[in-house]
Amino acid sequence: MSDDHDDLIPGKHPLDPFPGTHHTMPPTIHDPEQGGAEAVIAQPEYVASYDAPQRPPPLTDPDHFAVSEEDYDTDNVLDRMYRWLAARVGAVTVAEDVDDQVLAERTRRWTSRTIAFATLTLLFLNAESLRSWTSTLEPSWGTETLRLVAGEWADRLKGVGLDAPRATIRETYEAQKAKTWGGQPKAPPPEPAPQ
Amino acid sequence: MLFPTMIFGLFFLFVYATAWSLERENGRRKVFLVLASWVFYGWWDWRFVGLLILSAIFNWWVAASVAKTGAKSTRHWLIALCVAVNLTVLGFFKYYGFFVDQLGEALKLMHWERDLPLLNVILPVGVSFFTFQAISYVVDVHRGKIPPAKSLLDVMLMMSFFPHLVAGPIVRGADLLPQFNQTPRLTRGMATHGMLLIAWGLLKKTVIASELAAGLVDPVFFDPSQYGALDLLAGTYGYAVQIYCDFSAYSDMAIGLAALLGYRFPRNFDQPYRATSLQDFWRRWHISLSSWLRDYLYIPLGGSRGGLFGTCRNLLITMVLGGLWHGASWTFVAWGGLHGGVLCIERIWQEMRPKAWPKWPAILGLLVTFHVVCLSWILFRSESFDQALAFLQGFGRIDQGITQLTPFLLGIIVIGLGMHFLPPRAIESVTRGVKALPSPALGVTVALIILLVEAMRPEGVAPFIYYQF
Repeated sequence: MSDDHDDLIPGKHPLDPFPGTHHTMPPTIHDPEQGGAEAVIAQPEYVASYDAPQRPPPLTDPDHFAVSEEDYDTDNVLDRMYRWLAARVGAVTVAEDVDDQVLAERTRRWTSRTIAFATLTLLFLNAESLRSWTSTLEPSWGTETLRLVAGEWADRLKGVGLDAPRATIRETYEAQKAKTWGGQPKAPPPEPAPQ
Repeated sequence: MLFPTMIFGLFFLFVYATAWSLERENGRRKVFLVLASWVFYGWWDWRFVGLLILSAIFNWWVAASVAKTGAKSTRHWLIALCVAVNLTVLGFFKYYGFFVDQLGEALKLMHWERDLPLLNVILPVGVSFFTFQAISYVVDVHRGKIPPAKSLLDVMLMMSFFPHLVAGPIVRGADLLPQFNQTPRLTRGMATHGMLLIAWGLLKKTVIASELAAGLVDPVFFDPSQYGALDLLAGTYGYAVQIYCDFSAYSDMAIGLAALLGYRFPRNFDQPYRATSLQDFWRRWHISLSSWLRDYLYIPLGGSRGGLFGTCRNLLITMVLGGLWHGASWTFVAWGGLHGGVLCIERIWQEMRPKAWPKWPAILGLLVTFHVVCLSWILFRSESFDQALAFLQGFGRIDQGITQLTPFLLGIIVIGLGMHFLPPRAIESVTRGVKALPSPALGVTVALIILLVEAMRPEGVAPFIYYQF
C-alpha cells in the first residue's frame, strides 16, 4: 500500500467505477493540499482535535432528508416526471424545519411515546405472535409461565375479536398465495430424470 | 439474535430505554452500549466476543502508536502489521478450510497426496465487516484523515456497535467517532425515519425475501435440471429481488436502529437495479463496501492513473478480491471476475467509442446492466460451477411448462423490481410528511405496518444472506 496515492483530490483522480463522491471526513488540521501525508507527522497536536471544545451539533435532520435536484436523473423520463411532481408539491427543498435544542427533551419523549403506542397496539392486535414466540422457548419454569400468560392473553383477545384484523389479512394473503395459472391446482415439480 | 425476531424486539426496547436514561452520562452510555453489543454478539457464540475485544484493543493500540510515532518507517511497519494481523484473522476463520482444500487438490494433481491439517473452523458472524472497519480506521489515522479515537472505549463501541456489527454497513471511524464525543440528540426526522426504515426493512426481509426464497429460488437452485426456462428465468429474477430485499433490509434496519439511538449511518443502497451501467450499479449497491474497496484497494493500486491497461488491471484485481471477500469459493471469485471484466469492457468502450456515435438509450443500458447482474447472481448463488452450468443449460428447455412460478410469486418479483422505480429518497419524503403527526397517530401507523408484515410473513425467519460473509 502506498501513501503516494492516498490524497483524493476531486477531479484529479477519477474514481470510476466506485462511488464518485468522496467520503465525508470530519474536520482535521491535516490539509492534504498543504504538504500531503508528511504534514501530519509535523503536527502531532492534531491528536487534540477531538478534544477541542465543540459546540453541540444543531438539531437538524440528516442531509439525506433533503431531496435535491441531484437525486433525479435528467436522462430518465420517469425521474423527470417525479421531479416535475416534486417541484409542484414543494418537496425539492433542503430540510429547513430545524428543531430547537430546547426541544431535544420533548422530541425524545415524543419518540418514546410513539414506540410505546406502537408496542401497545401490537400487544393487542398481534397477540398471536407473542404466543407463537413463547411456544418456541426452551421449557423451564419461567418460560412455561410466560407461555401460559401469552396463551391466555391471546385467547381473551380472540374472544373479543381483536385477532380479526390479523386473521383477515392472513386469510386474504394465503388465498392469493394459493392461486395458480388458470385456476388449476399447482403441478408438483417433475420427477428427477433417471441417471 | 436476528433483527426480525421477538427476542431482538425486547432486547432493543430495553437498550433504547436504558441508553436514553443515561443521556446525561455519555461515558456510561457508551459502556452500556458496548455491553449490550457484546450480549447481542454473544447470543450466537460467546467465545467470539473475545475475538472482537482483542481486535478492538489491537487496532486501538496500532492507531494510537501510529499517531504518536513521527518516523515514517515505523508508521509503515505498524500499518503493515495492522493489515497483516487483521487479514490473518479474516483469512484463518474464513479461508483456512478453502485454501487447505485447494492445496490438497493441487498436491493430488501432482501425485503427491498428503494428509493436511484440516480444522473445522467456525466462522465468526460479521468478521468480514468488523475486520474491514478496523483496517479503514487505522489507515485513516495513518493518512491523517482522522485523529485517533480518544479512548479504547470509543474504538470498542465503533467496532462492536450492534446495529452494524454482523452485516454492515461498514461504518468508518470518520462517520462514527465524532458522534461518540457527546450524547447524541434525536430529531423527529431521525426518529420517524428510523421507525419507517425498520418497518420497511421488516417487509422486505420477512415477506418479500422469505417468500421468494422458500417458494421459488431455493427449489430451482437446488436442482435446476428439473425446471424449464421460464421457471429458471423467474428464479434468476427472483434471486435478484431476494438478495436485494434481504441485504438492503438489514442495512435499512441497522440505519433505523442506530437512528433511534441517536447515531447516523451512511446510506448503503440506492435503487441498484435502475443502474444504466455496471459502473453505475457499483455506486448504488453495497455502497459502504464499494467505497471501501475504492479507498483502500483500488486507489492504492493506482486507480485510474496507469492508463487504460493499468485501470483495467486494477479494476480486475479489486473486483476479484471483492468477490473473494464474499466467501471462500471459486464461484465468488468468478462473480467478482465477471463484474471486473464487464467494468473493463465498459471502460474500454468509453475510451474507444467514436465520438460521433450516439449514446445508448438509458433504458437499453438499464436492461443490459440488469441482465449482466442477474447472470452474475447465478454464479453467486450456485454452490459450484457445475450447478451454475446446469442452471444456464436449463434456459434451453423452452418447451417445458411452469411448475414453480405462481401468479403470487410473479407479483412479488414485480413489486421487488418496481420499488426501484419509486421516486428517489421515497422513505425520506414520507418521513417529511409524517414526522409532524402526534405520537399516538404515528405509533399506531407503525404498528399497523408491522401487523401487516406479521400477518403475512411465513413462520420462522431465515438468517440474512450476508451473515455468512
